[in-house]
Amino acid sequence: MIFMEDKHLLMFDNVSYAYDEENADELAVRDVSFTVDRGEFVVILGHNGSGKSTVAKLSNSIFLPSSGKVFVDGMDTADEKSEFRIRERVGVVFQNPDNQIVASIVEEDVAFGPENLGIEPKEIRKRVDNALKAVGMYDYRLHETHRLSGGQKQRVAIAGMIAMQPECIVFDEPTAMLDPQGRREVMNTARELNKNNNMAIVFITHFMEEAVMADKVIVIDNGRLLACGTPEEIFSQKEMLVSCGLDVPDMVKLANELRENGVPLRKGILCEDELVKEYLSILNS
Amino acid sequence: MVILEVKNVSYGYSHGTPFEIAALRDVSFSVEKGELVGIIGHTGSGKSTLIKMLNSLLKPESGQVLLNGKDINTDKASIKEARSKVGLCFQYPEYQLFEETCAKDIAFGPKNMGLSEDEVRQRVLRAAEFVGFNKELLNRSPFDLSGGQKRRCAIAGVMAMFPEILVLDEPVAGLDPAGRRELMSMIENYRKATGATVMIVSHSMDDIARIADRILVMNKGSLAESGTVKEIFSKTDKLIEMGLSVPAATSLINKLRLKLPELDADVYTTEDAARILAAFYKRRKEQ
Repeated sequence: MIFMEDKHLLMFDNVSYAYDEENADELAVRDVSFTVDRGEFVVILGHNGSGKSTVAKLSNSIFLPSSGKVFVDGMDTADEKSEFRIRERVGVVFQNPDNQIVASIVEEDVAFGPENLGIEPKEIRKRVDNALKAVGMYDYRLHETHRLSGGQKQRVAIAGMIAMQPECIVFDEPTAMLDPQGRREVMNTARELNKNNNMAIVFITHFMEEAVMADKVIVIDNGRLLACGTPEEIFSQKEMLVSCGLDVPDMVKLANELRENGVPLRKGILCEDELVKEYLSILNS
Repeated sequence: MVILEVKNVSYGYSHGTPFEIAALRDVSFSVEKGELVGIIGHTGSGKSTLIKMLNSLLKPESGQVLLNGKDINTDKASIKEARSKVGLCFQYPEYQLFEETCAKDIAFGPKNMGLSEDEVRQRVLRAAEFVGFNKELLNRSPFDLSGGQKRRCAIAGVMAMFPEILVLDEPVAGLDPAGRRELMSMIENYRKATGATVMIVSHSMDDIARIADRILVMNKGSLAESGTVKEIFSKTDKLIEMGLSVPAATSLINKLRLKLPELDADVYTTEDAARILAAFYKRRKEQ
């Protein structure tokens, strides 16, 4: 029984990647190893040019490792025969929603993926409706895609992914171009897919706030995996984060400053609700 | 002194089709010389259309844009003047880099203004200084730079024209926290050194709260609000209704005030929140 390995939906095993094979010293990703389990929510943090997006593209055989292996559900991404089944299991949503919409009507765009998987029309209809409901865009199913807002377009792109029923969606900075409302929409959608559909999520971002509710946070710097742990573990290492162009979430920063100013808050506060609760409780103790 | 005045400006797209959209409806405001104005608004609220009006890339269908009291759309000369005095920097300006070296790319704007070679060279060096570019970087191809450096190079290209009004559309979008901090302080440097008026469009309420003297809130093509940081961010519910939000510190204080109404509501940065909450805790414990 290889039960333990079976659990990993996605596994990076000592993966390196060079964009320029001739110049193999300049690695975009260097010796990176991590795993994503079924139903896990993993956030990857890294500064601009740290190699985060390369990791996204390595995860479903858009890129193949220069050395090392990426496994999806036990299948090697370098194995051409598996490519189709790998992409069925792991989908990627990119930063710019405008680059990912292929059809002029919302429901046609969502149907594009399942159509290409050769699924029956009846089943496609069902999947498209369910996917649009999951992202809260069902009422827009007959709308024209180019008239949607950025957040709406991004949710249609996500619905297109959901309709293919992957086991894992990799989000590559999906909120970088959105307004606060759009960011809330996309974050909530990712969270609900994880919670309600037990879908594994890999969320790549440089908004620290978006990492707070993850099961696991991975920090990438200059192509290397610098740290991997729970949000509490990662965000207690402010110096490490700042040294690689990142930061701690605002609420962590605030809690740190309060502690320095003699307010005895407990350790490990990550978000607004926790800070409110803790502050009120020590105030009244 | 008022440097810029937008008077009852309206503008629409796709006239005569069922998709007609009023991008701007009767927008009026004025900007003082040297002011730093933040512009916030949901996607599609008309922010980008509005800033394109400011140097006549789009012309109002009705209403006027006055620069130093003069309508910028009077004739060719006035348009040309507006283009050199109002520097527009679009979203993701690094996509517009095209020259062989950063120095040449930065020089493009001032060159087109018809300045002497010597003057152009000096301006390039000055602009490079604002964004922290050394000589070595100036001689490199902009395409060999990192994302954050490319962004700075593109913004230097607009700064090199020394516009009286520098307008930036989402200058820090897509940058990591260090990149955001650096670029914001570079914009501050430019403003301090030149006394220029700066207008910044941003989705980051925290950035805007930190730097703006005044905030314009766009909603569905209209100017919904105009006021100081305090005036705007004290209206949390209204902002959320418009698809926006308040700075993280303001949101925290709002929540605490439900239980502690005596807390100071006037908080927009994490530093201020930390100071106020620490002082409040001390007072409470001394009682």
